[in-house]
Amino acid sequence: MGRTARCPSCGAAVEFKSVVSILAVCDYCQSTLVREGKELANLGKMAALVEDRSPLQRGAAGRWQGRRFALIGRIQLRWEQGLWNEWHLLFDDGKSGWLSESGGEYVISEPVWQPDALPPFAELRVGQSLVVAGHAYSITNLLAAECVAGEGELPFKVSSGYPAPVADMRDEAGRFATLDYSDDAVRPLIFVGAGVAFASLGWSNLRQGTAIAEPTVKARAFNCPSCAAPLAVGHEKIETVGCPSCGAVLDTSNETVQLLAQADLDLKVEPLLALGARGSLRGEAVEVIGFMRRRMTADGVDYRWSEYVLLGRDARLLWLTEYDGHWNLAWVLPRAVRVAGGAAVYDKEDFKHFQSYQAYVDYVVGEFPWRVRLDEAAQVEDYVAPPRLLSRETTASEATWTVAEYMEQEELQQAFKLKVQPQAPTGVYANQPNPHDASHRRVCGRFWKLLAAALAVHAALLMGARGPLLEEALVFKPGDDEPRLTHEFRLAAPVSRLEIEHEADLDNNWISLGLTLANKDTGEAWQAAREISRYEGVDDGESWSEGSRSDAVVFTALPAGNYVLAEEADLAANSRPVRTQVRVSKPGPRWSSLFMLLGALALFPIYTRVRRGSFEVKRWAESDHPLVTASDDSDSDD
Amino acid sequence: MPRFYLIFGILALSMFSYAQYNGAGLFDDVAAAPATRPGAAGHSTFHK
Repeated sequence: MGRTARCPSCGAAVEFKSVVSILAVCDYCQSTLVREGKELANLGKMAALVEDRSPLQRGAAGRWQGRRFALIGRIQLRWEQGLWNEWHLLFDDGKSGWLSESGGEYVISEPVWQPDALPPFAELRVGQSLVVAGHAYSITNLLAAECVAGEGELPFKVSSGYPAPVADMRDEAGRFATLDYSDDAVRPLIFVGAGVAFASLGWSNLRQGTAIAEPTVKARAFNCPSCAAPLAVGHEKIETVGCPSCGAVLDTSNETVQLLAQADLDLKVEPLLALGARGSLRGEAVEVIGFMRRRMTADGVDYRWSEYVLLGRDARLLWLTEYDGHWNLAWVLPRAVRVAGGAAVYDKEDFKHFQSYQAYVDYVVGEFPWRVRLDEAAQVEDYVAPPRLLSRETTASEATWTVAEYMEQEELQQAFKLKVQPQAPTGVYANQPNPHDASHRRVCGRFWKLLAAALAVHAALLMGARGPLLEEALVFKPGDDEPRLTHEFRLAAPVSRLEIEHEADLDNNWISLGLTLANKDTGEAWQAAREISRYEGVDDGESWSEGSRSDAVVFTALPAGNYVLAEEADLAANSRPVRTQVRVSKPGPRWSSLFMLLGALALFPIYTRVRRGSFEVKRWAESDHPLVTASDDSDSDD
Repeated sequence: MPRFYLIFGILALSMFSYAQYNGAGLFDDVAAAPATRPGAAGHSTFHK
């Protein structure tokens, strides 16, 4: 149940909706009022909130995990990279929580109590793992923040300039935790929650229904303190502006614009997308507000790329990156990503480590909602699973995961209705989709289907094969010229092929056979001569063999009729009698034909595999893990 | 490429099936001698 009191300064009604709220800011006179028993103490005027074009306002209501909540207060905080809001929530079950709003990213958290001691703020490091409320988190941000202003009801005392050392942590499931050392540098307040999609919260009474103070050009127009060029800020939340005339990097977070750094104008590049350009990327309206050139150095060579800062729906920040004509659309991930064995796992997909490097900012122009620092090194690790790329960017105070998706130039041109043709892509980019991948997959799919069909045909013919037409043993002796006749066998219908096989019990000798296949009905005869030999032995302890005891010959285009086979043999004079087993049959499916077909069918997938692989070789040539190294090349040259 | 492969594969599979049905193999040893009418001796041999 809420409680209403009178502001001791102006007499206006001040309502405490939550029992945990101990501080309220009078909406009329901005007095900071603190509950002291039944009385309200006035701590003085609260500083004015900085206009930030948030879509939220006090009184807005939503639903999270089946519970309704309302926004009853706000703290606006500033850290070195910019501003963010902490909205005080009152749930319908009477509990309170926080909705963090930063750069279009939203996180809801609730206070928890943990008996185990946590490290003091001074001992925390970005990337450090901590177990909080039973979950393992990784520290993503260490913020030496301070309170800018507050409004509405708050559960603790705050005032402008109040220091707020905070550690933000995330886990791989998207859970979020904050350690707030504002009151105690050793024993933090703990808040646990999760990143949320703004649209999923079922909002009502958002700020869109009320007049949002539009920033005027006059209000934010100023002259560059370095070159006096006229500049203007189109968004109130902007922390940094890059002067396009002289390369100055300016701090615009206060009314007094300060020069932060001066970029080398030699590094100036005319952006393809003009500042202020609006477009629609993947169904989301975006506006280009900033452009920066970044640099990394490898083997003494500088590599530079462009990054466009886009403002999307609900003040969400997006990035368009461009290197050598290759474009990526990137956004920050609201979670930690597990890295193990040189791979990062995200969305149940393994991303292979591509490269690690130090990235610097060379040049900026336009507006940036964070404090841009020239030449501040950020350690970057890239992991790829085309068409996506995961990057972990780590500084002393922050670790951020971003995911990027490769974008074809046609999509970029359509999104921004470009009239200028972008630079054609050069080389192969880290997460560029392999254009031969789909073709290879389809060819492989067809290979397996054709293989299955071939095996089915072969198996069906094997099972359908009939037994031999004749099987008989014949014995031949040296010097015996008399032909041996087999029993008669019948071909009920003409056959295209008839196979006659011999299995001779040869032992280091030979036999020469003259075959005459005769049709007894017509008198036609077909002849063939066969030489069967088999020798084997042991020489110097090594066994050897030559020839075969088996032989087969095929007669073709035989008419129907009754047949008999006559065989004459020639043997060595000193040979022992040789017994041959004769087998006459219609030949069945050949294994050799099956293997030849498989070989022919495999040529295509082998070719597409090689073609796909050569693209991957080019991709990884630019990485820390090239598939072909310079030594491999020199070896092959040799 | 996949479409060409499909056409090639179906043709190859058809030829394979036909050859397998007839028991024809690329490495078969085929009797080269054409059909002949046997002489009197041979005739008597087969028409005993």
